[in-house]
Amino acid sequence: MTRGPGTGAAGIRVAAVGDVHFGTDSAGTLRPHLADLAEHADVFLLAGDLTRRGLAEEAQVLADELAGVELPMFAVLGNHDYHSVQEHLVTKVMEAAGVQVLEGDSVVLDVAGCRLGIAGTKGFGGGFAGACGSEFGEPVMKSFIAYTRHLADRLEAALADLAGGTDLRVALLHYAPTDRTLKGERLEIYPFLGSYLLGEAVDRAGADLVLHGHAHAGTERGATDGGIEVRNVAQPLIGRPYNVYCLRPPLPPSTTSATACWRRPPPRSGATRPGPGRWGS
Amino acid sequence: MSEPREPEHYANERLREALAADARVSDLSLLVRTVADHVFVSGQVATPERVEAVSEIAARVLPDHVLHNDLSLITLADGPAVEHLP
Repeated sequence: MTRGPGTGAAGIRVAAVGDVHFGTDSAGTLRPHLADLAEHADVFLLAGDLTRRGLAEEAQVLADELAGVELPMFAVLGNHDYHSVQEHLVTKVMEAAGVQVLEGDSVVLDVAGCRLGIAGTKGFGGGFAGACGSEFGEPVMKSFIAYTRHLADRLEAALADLAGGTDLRVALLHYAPTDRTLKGERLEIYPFLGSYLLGEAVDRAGADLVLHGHAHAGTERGATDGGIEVRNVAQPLIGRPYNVYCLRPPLPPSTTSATACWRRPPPRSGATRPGPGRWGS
Repeated sequence: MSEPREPEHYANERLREALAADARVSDLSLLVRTVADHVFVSGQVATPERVEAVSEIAARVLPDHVLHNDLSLITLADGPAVEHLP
């Protein structure tokens, strides 16, 4: 493989994009831009909203566009991919095309001389400091926040599983883990764009980079409160077929991730956490 | 005596919901703003067909409003931006 100008010595080049929103009328819109993808990157990540209405036939159009990509490809789903209650079919179509769909789990791959770990979840909303929903009141409100908490817990566990066995860790989300990459969006919709619970999960488990989409009018660059770099790769925002992030492993390689972790505080008295399996695995 | 006009807020959201629900558009990110009997729709969509669909949906949902369809087509720059992270 020819390594292009973005290559750093002993580094990994992560290509990422979200919110491609493929419909049945989207054929030919992405493929021409992917012809030289392997010259720019070592792995290709898709940050959700692969489709417009969550239909298998829309996913198939995207799968056909990706057919010539000779890189490891991973994705999470987004809210649009759930719209028609065919998310399992969307996943099936993508995986048949060689795109592994992550949801609360992780993968490790050897790439460019490094062990790269990727943990993924769609995530969900709930809001950020001072303006968050709580597990309080009506069942549907409790359910809203409990769902986000459940996905955040699974993300944290998936990232923690990668610690020690990887040189670099990337968290792949659809919803935002910080409000810093939402700047530009209307403040009123922040609770529908992401949750601090996702950022908290990343900060506790540790990661080298977080990628998300969903916020089309947001800001590309931000960080979690714990200082982990976050990039919003929603295609309407970046205006490019994908962006590339070059990561260097810490020295010596094959020890642990670069980012120090902090320990989670003990659960608050009376706090409830859904048991495993409540939202499916 | 003429019928009182629907408050702008409600007219605005009826159209926004319709743009999300209609399979030809299915877009939550379009900006809709209603001022008196004018409605302004802006943002980016992927195809000319979606621009036209927005006009048709607006004419159906808000037939007594003048539509200003300010949508543009998404265009992608060539190649990626590359960032080296520490």
